[in-house]
Amino acid sequence: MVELGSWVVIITALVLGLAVVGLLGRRWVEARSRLQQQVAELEALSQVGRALVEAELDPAALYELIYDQASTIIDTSTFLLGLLDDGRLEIVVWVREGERQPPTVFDIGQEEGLVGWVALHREPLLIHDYQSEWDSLPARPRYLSDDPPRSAVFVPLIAGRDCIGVLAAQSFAVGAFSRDDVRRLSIVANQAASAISSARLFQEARTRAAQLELLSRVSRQVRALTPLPDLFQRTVDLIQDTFGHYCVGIYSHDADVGGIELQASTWDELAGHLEEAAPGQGLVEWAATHAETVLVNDVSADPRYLELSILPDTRSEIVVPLVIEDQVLGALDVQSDRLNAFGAGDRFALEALADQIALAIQESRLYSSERQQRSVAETLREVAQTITSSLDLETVLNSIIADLRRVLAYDAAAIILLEEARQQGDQDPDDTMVVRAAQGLPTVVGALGKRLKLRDSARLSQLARGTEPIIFGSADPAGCYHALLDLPPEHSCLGAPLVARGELIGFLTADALLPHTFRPEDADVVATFAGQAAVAIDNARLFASQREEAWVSSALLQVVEATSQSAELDEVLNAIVHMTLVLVGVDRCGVLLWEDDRGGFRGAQLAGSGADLSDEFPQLWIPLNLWPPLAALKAQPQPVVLGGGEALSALPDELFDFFGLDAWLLVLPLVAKGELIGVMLVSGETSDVALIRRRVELISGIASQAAMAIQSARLYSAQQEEAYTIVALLQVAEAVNRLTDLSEILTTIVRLAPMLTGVEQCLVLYRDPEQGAYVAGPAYGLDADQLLLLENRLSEPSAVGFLSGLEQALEAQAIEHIGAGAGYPNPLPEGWAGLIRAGTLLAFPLVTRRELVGAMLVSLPADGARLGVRRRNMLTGMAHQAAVAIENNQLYAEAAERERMERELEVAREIQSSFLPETHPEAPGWSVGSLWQAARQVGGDFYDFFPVRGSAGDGRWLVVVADVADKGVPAALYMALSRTLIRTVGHSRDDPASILERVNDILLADSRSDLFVSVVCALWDPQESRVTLANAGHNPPLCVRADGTVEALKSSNMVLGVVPGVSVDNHTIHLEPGEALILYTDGITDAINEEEEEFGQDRLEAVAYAGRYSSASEIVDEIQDAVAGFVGQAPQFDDLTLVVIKREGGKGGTD
Amino acid sequence: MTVQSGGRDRAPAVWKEPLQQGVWLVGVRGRLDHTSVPALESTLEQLMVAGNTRLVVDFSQASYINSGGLRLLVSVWRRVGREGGGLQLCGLNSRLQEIFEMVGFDQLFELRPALADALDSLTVSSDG
Repeated sequence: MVELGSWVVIITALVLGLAVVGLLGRRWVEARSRLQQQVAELEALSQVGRALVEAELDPAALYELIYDQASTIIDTSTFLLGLLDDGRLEIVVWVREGERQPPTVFDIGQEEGLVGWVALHREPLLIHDYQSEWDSLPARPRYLSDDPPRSAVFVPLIAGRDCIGVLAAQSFAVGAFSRDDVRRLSIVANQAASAISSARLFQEARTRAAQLELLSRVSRQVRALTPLPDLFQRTVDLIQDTFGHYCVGIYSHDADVGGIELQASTWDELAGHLEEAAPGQGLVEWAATHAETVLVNDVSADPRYLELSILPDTRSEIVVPLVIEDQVLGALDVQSDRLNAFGAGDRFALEALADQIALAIQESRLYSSERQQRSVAETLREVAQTITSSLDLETVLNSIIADLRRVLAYDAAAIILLEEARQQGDQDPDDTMVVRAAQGLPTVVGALGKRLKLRDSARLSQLARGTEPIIFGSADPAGCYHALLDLPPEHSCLGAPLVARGELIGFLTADALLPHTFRPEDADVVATFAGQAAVAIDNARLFASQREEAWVSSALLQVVEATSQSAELDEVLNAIVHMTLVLVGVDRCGVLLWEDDRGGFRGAQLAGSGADLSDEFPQLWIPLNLWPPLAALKAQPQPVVLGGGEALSALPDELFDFFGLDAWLLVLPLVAKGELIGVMLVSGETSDVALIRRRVELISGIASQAAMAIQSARLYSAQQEEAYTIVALLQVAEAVNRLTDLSEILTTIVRLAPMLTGVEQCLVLYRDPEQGAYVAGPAYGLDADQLLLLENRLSEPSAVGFLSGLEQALEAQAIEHIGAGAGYPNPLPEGWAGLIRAGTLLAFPLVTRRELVGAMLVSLPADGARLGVRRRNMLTGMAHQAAVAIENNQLYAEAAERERMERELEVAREIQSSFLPETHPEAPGWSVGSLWQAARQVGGDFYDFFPVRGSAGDGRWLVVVADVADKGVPAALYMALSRTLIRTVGHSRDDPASILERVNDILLADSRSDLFVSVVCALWDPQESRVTLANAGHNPPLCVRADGTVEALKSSNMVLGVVPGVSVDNHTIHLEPGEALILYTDGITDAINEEEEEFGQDRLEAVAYAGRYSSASEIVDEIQDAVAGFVGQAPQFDDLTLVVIKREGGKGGTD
Repeated sequence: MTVQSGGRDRAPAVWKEPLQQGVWLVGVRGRLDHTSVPALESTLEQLMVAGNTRLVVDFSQASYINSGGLRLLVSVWRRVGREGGGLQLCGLNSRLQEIFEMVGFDQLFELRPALADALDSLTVSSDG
């Protein structure tokens, strides 16, 4: 089936083929002649084609070749070759009537003119006659002249799918061109188009290659880190070499400040002419400002273009901004003397180049900043090296300033340090600053060491508030430390705070005379630098302070060691002053010690140059208020630095001799246990007061050590003295105890005092407490005549006045010695100068039981040495011993007197009691009891019984109870007298009243005393049971009746012994059985208890009533017990005397 | 003016006060016994040494007098009597009055109930 189908097809094809062959044969003849014609034509055309293909790739030569070849096939007396490019027609060959016209460019729109029509429709156009065909022309001819051509042929140049141009030939003859001409010209056009296209491709490739070469060369320069100026210059040169432009330039652009600056140009003189441009004008400015490429192919038509007189031929210009990360760094400017010189390719290439340049600038900047940082780091490392190589802060500061110049160009720079570092932000306007380092302008160096307050500088205050450097403009507050300088108002100023460990320690400032010298990057550098500098300064300070501390500690240790080696004050002082000289490096050091008792400072030790004066130093005496700084120091112990001539010329003469010529003087308190014990004076000849202020701490340490050493030396000395004093006083006490005779004891004391204390003379005076007069006692150092003379003068007013000081002191509760003569306000008593061998006389009080009993006088040796504490204590102790001796003597005398009196009283009492009756009278039916109890002091009570009319008598008795007024021996004697008188008178009388009246008369006649006696005299008749009583001023006798009533037998008669002729009456009572008579003295009734209540007559009566059934002696006992029970512990002041007579029987008897 | 002297522990037991026309008042407080009699004695002694012989002893605040006190009054009475003066006692309470009566001194001294009476008596006797 398939083969059958194939055969059908083949047969059909053969039939058709035979038909075609027949047709072809018929036409073969005519075709052969046409072929021959065509072959000749093709030969010509192929020659054209070969010529064109072999043509050089140089466009200009190619265009000429095309014209030549076209001329071989058609009339080209009027001819044009135009190339289309982006709406423009560039006529590269133009011949008119055989004459060459210059190349020119037209803008052609779509379908504009005949050329436009041809290009658009890509069809040839043959015009036989313009005039006849005018209305049928597809487009209006653009080119019109006075003598227009009549016929023409237009052929498009087709390359690939594009029409790249037009070939045209015209003639002034009608119908000059045939369709064959059109065909032939079209073939040439095709060949030409291909050649032009190739040439263009080649040209483009070559340009791209050149551009690539350029880019690569620029990139190489960039990678080679060519310095920017060189890079710029090479780049512009390369661009010009490569493209042959009129002028190439690179500008830099400052985004912060604005404006452009020429960096490199192929036109050397260009830089000088840029000033013609007003800021903000010109294409370069525009491109830089807008960060956008600007391409102007006809500058005359662009208002942005700025014509420069030096570049008159510029026709077109392209400016490409140099952009990195949105930041315009500059611009690449290329100008051409040709119109439309720049195409898209140029733009692309230049933009690529611009990127490279921008990259280069950026890298260069990075590199530059890196290099700068490296430089700063290098500088800082060197600063650090400087610091470690020097221990002096000043050196460090100066190095910082000097090294700052390596990273910052300045005319003047300074480091201003705060005297006291504070936490950032804690600054006080009153903080003081010092210009510590300065370099540059003379005025800045002149400001070195000057002080100012933070408040005085607005700029530094502003810096203190932040942590970053500030570049100050002229509009910023003035009043920097520049007040100290002399800078023009418009100068540049850059300041940075110095912050270390969070504390603001000061400022770094730099100044330049020209305005706007410092840039933001400078601030960054200075920030880093200031940070490092602050750390450096801080480290230097720390190091210095640690070193100082270590040094101070070791120095103080040396002082401690030196002062602890000796316990003697002199040696301690000597060590202190000499070590201070060596350790502190001063010229003179002296110590004054405070003397409390005299209220002033005494020179102790001086060392230093001019040591010949040190012997005179101990004679130095400065009363407290002589020199105000010392008085102030006493009130408030603070070190005082006095510097400079004026301060020291005000020294009192005493101190001026030693320190007056020095440059400064430091006065330090020596304080031990809160008490000022002296001052240390340190001075120097050179006027480095700053140095000494730094050393105050060390010297203060030495002073404090010195005070402790002095105090312990004094304690040691005091302990030694105390031990010596105790031993000496023990000797005296031993002598006092061993001896009993006062005069012997005092003689020993006055002899021991000069031996133990070194006084010249010693004398004891006794004082009569009653008269207040003194008499001389034992003495040492005075002979008998002198002693006599002295004794006579003791009563003279001046001596009395002097010694009265002892009484005044005693009254003021102050048992202290007083002095006269040298060293004391009072002169020696008149006439004593010859007796007292030395200039000073001291009197120590002798006090016993708060009473001044004498004085111990001593005279001090003639050398004027004062009485030290030790000797004063010893003499006081000896005076005490002397007083004890006198007191012992007094006590002994008083004890002896008391004993004598006791004995006398004993005798008196014995005598008194011997006056009392030894027995009681006895009578049947009667009982008698009695009591006589004498008080401690001898009194005047007595009782008596004696029979009437002789010892045999008639049974009647006189009973007497009497009481002599008052106590004591006179009363006892008076009692004895009264008793004797009563016995004597009573012996011959039996009337009690008359007995008493008689006794009174005799008493008054005999006695001149004021004594008197109260007496009860009773005539007791037991047989009659009758008692007759006479009472002379005595207590009323009590009669206890049988019925229990107690009767007080009152009378009112005068006591005996007061007035003459007293009259006494008798009173007679009868006593029944059981009744009793009680006679007593007021010692019973007036006895008082501890509450001062009297026993009283009522109590006596009560006791008598209670004892009404008792016997007489029992009643006595009961009364005695009652009184004793009532009185209790109260002392008995009075005698108790009691006589009871009782008639036995009665009820009581029967009970 | 009141001048006081006397014991340390108690309120002053004795005081003195000048009255008109050279008469001195001597006051006594409390018990006039061995502790206070010496003070009264010394007060009276001072006045008499100074020539004051017209004296009034005020007993209005006194509660007791012992024999020593009585003896002192006798002594003073005798002395001012010799020197042309006088001694008046006033203000005695009943206890003191009793004591004075017992020893018969109510006959010896002029015992006035009040100071004014004593003063009148002294000045009148002086004028007389």
